[in-house]
Amino acid sequence: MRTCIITGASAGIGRAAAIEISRLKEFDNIVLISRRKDLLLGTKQMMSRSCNIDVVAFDISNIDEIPSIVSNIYNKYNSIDCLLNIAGYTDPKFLFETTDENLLKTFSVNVFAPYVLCRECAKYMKGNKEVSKIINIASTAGFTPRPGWSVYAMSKAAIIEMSSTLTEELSSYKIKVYCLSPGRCATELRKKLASEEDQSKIMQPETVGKEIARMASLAESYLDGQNIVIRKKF
Amino acid sequence: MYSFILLSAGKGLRFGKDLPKQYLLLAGKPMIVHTLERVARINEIKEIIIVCEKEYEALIKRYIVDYRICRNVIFVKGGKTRQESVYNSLKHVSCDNVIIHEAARPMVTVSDFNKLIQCEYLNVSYTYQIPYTVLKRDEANNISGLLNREELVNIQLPQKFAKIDLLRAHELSLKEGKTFTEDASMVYYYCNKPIFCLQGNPYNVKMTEYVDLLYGEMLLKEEFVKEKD
Repeated sequence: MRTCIITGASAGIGRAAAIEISRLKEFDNIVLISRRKDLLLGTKQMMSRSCNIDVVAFDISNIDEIPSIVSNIYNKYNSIDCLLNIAGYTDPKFLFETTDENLLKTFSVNVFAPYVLCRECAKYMKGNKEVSKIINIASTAGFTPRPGWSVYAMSKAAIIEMSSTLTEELSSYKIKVYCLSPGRCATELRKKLASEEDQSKIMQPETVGKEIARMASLAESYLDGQNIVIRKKF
Repeated sequence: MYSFILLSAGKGLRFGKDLPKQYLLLAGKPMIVHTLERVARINEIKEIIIVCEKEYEALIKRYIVDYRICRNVIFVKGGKTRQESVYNSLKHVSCDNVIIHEAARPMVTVSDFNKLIQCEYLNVSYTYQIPYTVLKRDEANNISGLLNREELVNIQLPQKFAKIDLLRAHELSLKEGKTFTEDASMVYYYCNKPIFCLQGNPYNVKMTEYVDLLYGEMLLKEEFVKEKD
């Protein structure tokens, strides 16, 4: 039995990744996590029915509850083999307008929750015989300065470094850690960062979803430990 | 089945740190955890007996939870000497066979333990050739004799023993007030039974100086120490 957990699966890149991963037929169970159950059920409708799909309505910024969410998944399916940290949050503001609440919420969703999910899932993954995978979604914003994006950029830079360090820490457990940094991608989050942009002309979530699925497949072995950039060239 | 004794009562004074070396970070995690994680993967080991100072028991218990070491662990208080520590732990051994290892050798691999278990002899020690000349020295600090290094071996842990032999050796040495620095010497001296020498490994070094942590991290990154089984 192989189990994959996907956060942020209600829309955008998370939904696209869930659809592509269900087509891989490498996982017996796919667990979709997001705040909105109705949207998760919408994602489920679009996925291949070749595996069991479970939806968990949960706000990952409730970090204290993550260990019990992960242990419940493990106890139910007796395995955790792949974790996709895709959920993201942003409220772009200039430095003077950035509230403590904004700072804390962005870091809770974008950094602290993925870190705690990595920690809790890796505790179970370390007992797996096959290779396990963690795929963290960062952003080109993590290494490209743009005024007004400081908190989001900081959080994504943290994900890039978290991924490279965890690659080293977890390699002896056969846990591969990937970091994918999409450029401009047509998502709700992107609308907050660039509201005037024509989303039909930029990279679509499906493109990123396909790349995530490729990384999640057992066939991929060599892209871990690097910040992989995926962007549409104009 | 085997009882596994992990010696962790050393103070590591040569490291010059407040914490004994076996609890310092090696490649990001406490030195003792490297061994515990590997031992936890060996089905033939029924119980883990950790010999340590009482004050570090809570710390090790926390490691066991944090690193999800799902094994039966017994704690035994360290003695005044290494010999006393092993003797104390033998009182808690429930299996007929015992494996002894020390927390200061974190580069030991699952394969090292498996080879030891699979070895047909009951009393076995890893040994390594001595690559340099060793001579005798007298009390006046003069060379007093020659030794043929072809006849000598360097003892490396882990070792395995039949509990009955190891216990007998410890009881006799206690009675005679004789001390030994490790257990193969003692079983050889008192039991008159063969102790088989398994070829040791150059990477299974003992961490004795602080700089060893740096070498250790480099070794742990290498594929031959990183086990994929």
